[in-house]
Amino acid sequence: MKGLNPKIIMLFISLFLLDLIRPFGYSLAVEFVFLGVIFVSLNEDLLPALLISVILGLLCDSFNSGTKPLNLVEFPLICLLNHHLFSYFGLVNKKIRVLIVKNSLLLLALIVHIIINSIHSGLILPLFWIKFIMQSILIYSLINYSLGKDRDVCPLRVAQ
Amino acid sequence: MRIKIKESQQLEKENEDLKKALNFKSDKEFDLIGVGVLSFSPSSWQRHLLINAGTDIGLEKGLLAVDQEGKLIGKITEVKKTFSHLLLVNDPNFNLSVFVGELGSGLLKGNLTGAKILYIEEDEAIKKGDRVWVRASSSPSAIEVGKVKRIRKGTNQLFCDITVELASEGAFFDKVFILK
Repeated sequence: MKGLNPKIIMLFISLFLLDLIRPFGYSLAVEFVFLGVIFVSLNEDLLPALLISVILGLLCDSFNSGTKPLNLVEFPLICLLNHHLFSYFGLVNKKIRVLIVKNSLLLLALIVHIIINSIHSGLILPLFWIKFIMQSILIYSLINYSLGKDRDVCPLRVAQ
Repeated sequence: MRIKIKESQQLEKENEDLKKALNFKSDKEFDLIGVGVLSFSPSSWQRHLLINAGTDIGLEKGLLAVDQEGKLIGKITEVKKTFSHLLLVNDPNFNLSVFVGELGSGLLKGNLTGAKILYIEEDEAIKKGDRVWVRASSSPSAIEVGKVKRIRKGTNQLFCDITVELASEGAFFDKVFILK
């Protein structure tokens, strides 16, 4: 098992602070910590990824209102699901793994998150879901690129 | 130099906000407590703030919060010694009894993108543009919540579906005012 990169620990602290401070208020419908959980589940070993998911789930629940530990259950579940599905594609060509498999798993995780939260809040808001997915994909790409992951197959690199 | 300019701009804005709050306070004779916002809810499916005041300055559960212009933004749901949780009007768990126009009354419920009024009977004379307001326990003056944006009447429904355009559409707050 590899140790966790200090860069990733710093990233998580920043993502958590961004979620708390919300520099753009609620006009940005993105959960930075959740994107971090997806990132770590697709790029790190299972055990550290799971540990991070549990810690972040606990932290987020302590700042959310309500008594149900929703994130504590959801984050490790998403992490396990992503890690498990991603491991099926170990032998696939790297470009396909990054461009298709990782992005599909990102989308799947976002959809699962929407379903869980919509059931929990009892609201059906298609426009909000679309906004959440679009903005999350954009921010995730920025996180991925800023950490230098998959740059060799990332279209931004080709453009440079 | 840039930092100083930024600082003076911030002070100017703060001064303006406080002046507005003071005008509202003297107009409506409310006892206002200005508090700072510590953090937002990390979930996109919740709308609540953590504020830097609690029982130490006499805050209690159920008190209403307004912005600097006196428009309703939420209510206090949990109070600790030095901090409190403030639920915003558009949180799905937000419920408050409100008045619509001059005669109607119903239950305001948040839905992330705005708010709706429930339990308004079809025969109540409510029209688009009617103001939605609430009365704080401490003062007879009205606090603005918003106005009726859309009314939908179902064929077999007892109540109509009323969408409210919130007066305080602000997505970002750095300070709020609690009505005592």
